[in-house]
This record gives sequence, C-alpha cells and structure tokens, in this order.
Amino acid sequence: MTEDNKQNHSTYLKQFSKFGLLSTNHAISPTIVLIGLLLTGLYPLVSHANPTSLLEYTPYFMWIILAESWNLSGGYASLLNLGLVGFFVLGAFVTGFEMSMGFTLFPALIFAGVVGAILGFTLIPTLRLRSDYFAIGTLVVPFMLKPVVEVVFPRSTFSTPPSEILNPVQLYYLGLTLATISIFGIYLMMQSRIGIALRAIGDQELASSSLGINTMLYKTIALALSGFLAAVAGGYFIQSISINSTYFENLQYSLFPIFMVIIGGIGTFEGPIAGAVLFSVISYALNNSFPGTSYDILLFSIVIMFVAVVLPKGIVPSIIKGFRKIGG
Amino acid sequence: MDTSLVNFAQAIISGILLGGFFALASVGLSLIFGVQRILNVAHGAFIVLAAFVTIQFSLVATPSLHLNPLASLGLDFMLIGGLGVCVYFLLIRRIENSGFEAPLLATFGLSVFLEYIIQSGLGPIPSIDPSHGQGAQAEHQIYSSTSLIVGPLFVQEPELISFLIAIIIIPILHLFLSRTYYGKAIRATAQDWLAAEFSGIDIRKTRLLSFALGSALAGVAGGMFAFTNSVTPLLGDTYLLPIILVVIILGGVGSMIGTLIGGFVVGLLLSFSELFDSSYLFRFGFQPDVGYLITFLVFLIVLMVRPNGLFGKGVVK
Repeated sequence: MTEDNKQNHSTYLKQFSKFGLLSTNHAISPTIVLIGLLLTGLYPLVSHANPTSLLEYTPYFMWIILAESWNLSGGYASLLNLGLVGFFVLGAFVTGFEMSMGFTLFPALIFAGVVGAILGFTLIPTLRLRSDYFAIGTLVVPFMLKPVVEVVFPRSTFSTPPSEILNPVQLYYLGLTLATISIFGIYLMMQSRIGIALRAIGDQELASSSLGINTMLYKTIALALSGFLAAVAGGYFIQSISINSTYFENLQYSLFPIFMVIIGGIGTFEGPIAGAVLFSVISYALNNSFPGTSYDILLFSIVIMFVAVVLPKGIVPSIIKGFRKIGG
Repeated sequence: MDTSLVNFAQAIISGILLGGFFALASVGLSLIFGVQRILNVAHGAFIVLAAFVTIQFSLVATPSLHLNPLASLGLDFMLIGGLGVCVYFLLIRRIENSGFEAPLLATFGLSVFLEYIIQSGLGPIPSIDPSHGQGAQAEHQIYSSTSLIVGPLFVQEPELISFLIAIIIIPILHLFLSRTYYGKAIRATAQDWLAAEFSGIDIRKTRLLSFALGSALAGVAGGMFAFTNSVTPLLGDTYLLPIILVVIILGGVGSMIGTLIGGFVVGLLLSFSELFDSSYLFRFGFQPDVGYLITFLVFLIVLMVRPNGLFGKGVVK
C-alpha cells in the first residue's frame, strides 16, 4: 500500500467513524455488553432483596428495546421516525387483546410484533419524502391510530388477564431475554449484507442507490423490523401495567428513545444500550432525590436541553473521542 | 328552513371560523420551520402558556383595572416573543446548524419544562394553571353568552374575533415577507442560508427575527385559544401540535397564504366529520374521533400525492 493510499484509507475510516463497526472491527463492545447481560441475569439469583423490587427494572428493559428499535431506523438508516409511540402502544393493545382472547404470552408477543411490522409497511409511501417531512409524517401516525384503535377495540383500558400476570422474577427474565434478542439480533443483522446496505443508505443515500443498492427495499426492512421491536416492547410493557388509548398522545415514548440514542451515540452498536442505561440511571437518581415532589420532571427537562445543546453528538462518542485523543 | 340544510350551513361557518384559528396557530411554526428547518415541538406549549397568561389576566387584571380581556393579546404577543428571543439565544443559536435531531430534542425538553411551569409553578413563580387539570377558560363576561344569532345560525363571538385576526395578520405577514427588506432576507435565508450570507444578509439576525416573530404569533393564537376552548396544560402536545403540523404541510411550508388555506381545509374537515359523526355514527353506539382520523388520512394522502403541499415547493428530494 502506498503512502497516499494509506492516508486515503485512514481518512476514509475517520469519515465513517460515526458508524462504530466500520472503524472498530473488533468485538470489545459486544463482549462487554454480553458480560453485562450475563451479570444482569445473575443478579436476582445472588441478591437477597425482595423479589418485588425487581419490578423496578422492567422499564429499563423496555427502554433498551425501544432505543434499539429507534436506532435501527433512525440511526443506521437515517429514517427519523417520530411516531414510535404508535408502534409501541399498538403492540401493547394487540398483546393485551390476544391474551384476553386466550392466547399465551409468546404467540401474542409475536403477533403484536407482526402487527407493528405491518404498520411499518403502511408507511412505505412516506419513504420518498425528504427526511424532515418524513419525521413530521410519522409524528402524526399515532394520532391517527388512536381513533382507529377506539373503533376496533371498543373498550377503555387494556391489560393482561389476571390469570396470566407474571411474577416479578418471570417479568425480569422476560425483559432480559427480549432485550438480549433485540441487541444481538440487530448486531448480527448489521454484520450481514442488509446491515451494510443500511449503513450505506444512512450515510449517502444517492451514492448507495447509484451503486445498485435497492434503497426502498432496505429502508422498508429497517422500518418494519423497527416496528416489530417497538410493538414487542409494548407487549412487554402491558405485562406490568394497564393502559388506555390516551397513551397514543404521549410524545415521550417517541422522544425519550431518541434522547437515549443521541446521548449514547447515534448509529452505533453501543449507543442505544449506553443511552438507555444512562437515561435509566439519571431518571432513577432524579426520582429518588426528590421523593414526593415532581421536581424530577423539571430537572429532567433541563438535562434534555443541556445534552441537546452542549453535546449534540452524544455523551459516549465524546468520551470515546477524548480517549482516542489521549491514546493518540 | 330544512334542518339538514341548517346543519350544513352551520358546519361550514364553524369550520371556517375554526380554520382561521388553526391558521393563526400554525403560521408561526410555518415561519420557523420554513426558515430554520427547526421542528419546534414546543410550539404547542407556547400557545398553551399564552392561553394561561390570558386566563390569569382575565382573572386578575380585568376586574381590578377594568381592562378588556382582549387587551391581553398584546401582552401575549410580547411575552411569548420575548420567550422566543431567550430560547433562540440560549438553545437554538448553538445547534441550528447541527442537524435535525438536536434542535428537536432541545425543544422537546423545553416543552416538558414549560408544561411543568404551567402546571406547578417554579420557585417564586406561582402556578399559572388555575384549573387544577380540569381545564380553564378565560373569563370574558363581555363575550361569554353573546353569540351572534343570524336566523337559525349562530356564531360565537371569540371564534369570530380569532378568525378576523387570522385573516388580517396572515396577509400582512405575507406582504411583510414579499415586500420588505427583512421579509426578503427571511425568505432568502430559508432558500439557501449560505448564499444569503454571501450576499451580505446577517443570517443570525434574520433567524432571530423569524424565531421571535413565529413565537409571538403563537402568543396571539394562545390568547384567542383561551377564549374559545377549555385549556389544560398538556393540550399543546395532545391536541394542537399534530393539527398544526397537518395545517403546515397541507398549506406548504413557508407559504403564509397556504397556511391560511390549509387551516380552512382542516377546520372544514373537522366540522363536517363532526356533523357526519353526530348524524350517522352515534346510531351504531360508538363515538370515536372520526374527524381526526379523516383529517390525518387526508393529510397523509396529500403528503403522498402532492408532498409540497398546496402552495409549497422543493420538498421531495
């Protein structure tokens, strides 16, 4: 390799270092995540805490799945889906409905995921819009789903039937399993041809379509898989709580995953996991430092604004950049 | 007169009046989004904040100073415009060139922040929500029961006023954007900020102007919202924001007259589907918000068939 070529190669890597896998082809982060997940799995066995305290961790798994789901479409494929709450709540409704019809948990979850993927397919026509208009189009989707759901399922609240409610330990392991599947499923997919095509599209859509990548096909795959995961997260969520159709109007379920992915590093393997963990730690700390008041919401909104303004590229990428500087 | 004909005429009138309000609420965000490509999701919260300012004004200042509650519209304009200036300097200015997500997150944090302040107050600032979650409306003794009644039709006076404000302000805004230097600077920045900077336009000032003006217009809309609706702190996100986005896209981003017409389209769609709702669907025993479903469906269809909206250009890549 000539000197010139070498330099080209390194600038190439630098340019694409936004996508962790191209520049760091080793498996450090997946190994760390795997060890972390194993330790998480061991935690209920070694801790002597009351099993009901495990319920506190259910939202963490849900946030990880949602962040993974958003990172797949918004991070890798640059499809800014602002309607994640629609997929999420629809998945919850379908799961609750199926289980009250007598289905067991896993078929109901898969069915909910398929419904979420179908919802992703119905968004195909919006894919040809410019990214910010795509975002606005998807933002409106949950508001459209609300009346549809009210017609299809004419009842006020949804929950799992009392006989099917899982105990806290089962719920914990269900969440851990779903989070592990979504993390490593997406990891393996991103190593395949689909993943490489998605990263190419997210980076330079025009260039990748001129190289013969079917951009519509891969974007549709990303959207459908993202919808599948978000709906499964909803199906998991409804195991511990009963919800109603006003959840569709809750922008937070769409925007918190985006916040996590951005603080963790958008379009990276580590990003959504680190972001979801960081988010959960921050919200847990804020929740517990002001018991009985709602100052945590106020402080959390300030944290969101602060991160968006000071670290628009995310906390974890900034730290990694700092380490790289130190390490030369 | 025939009842169905009366209902039909009533639906047209209330649809157009409602549409005027929607246009007024949307025109500020259309300006901001058109110029800076910033999706200010706090726009709904701005409107609700202004609505609560007007409600408080009507509770406090109107009885003691004998001021017409409509005078609070000027206060809303200045307060929310000032808030827009602060937000621009504290948040937007630093991140406006760093893509779409960072400003989105920043304004999302802002909307959570404002909703908290409206609901619970902050330190020395008392809560400005006198409703305690129940929904509050401005005390407007002068207008409350005085609907104008023309034959079998009736028109609520505050709705008429917000419609009149919309059809006065929006053409003026259109003239401002097409005829004056600053208006032309705003349009030039919207088209290509780099080229605008090269031609000697101070784009920072221009963006500040458009953000402040857009926010101030949200203030006026919020003032009128307090007269026509029962306001709760979260209404900005759950009711106003999606409708505002629909109006903006239908009318075409950055086109003021388009926003006005988009507002009328959405208002008419909502009032006609309400008519349809009450005459047909109630018989089947359920009452979903079919109006919103139809409106959003029309929106998605327009987005696919004519993505530039009715009057916009340059949206599809």
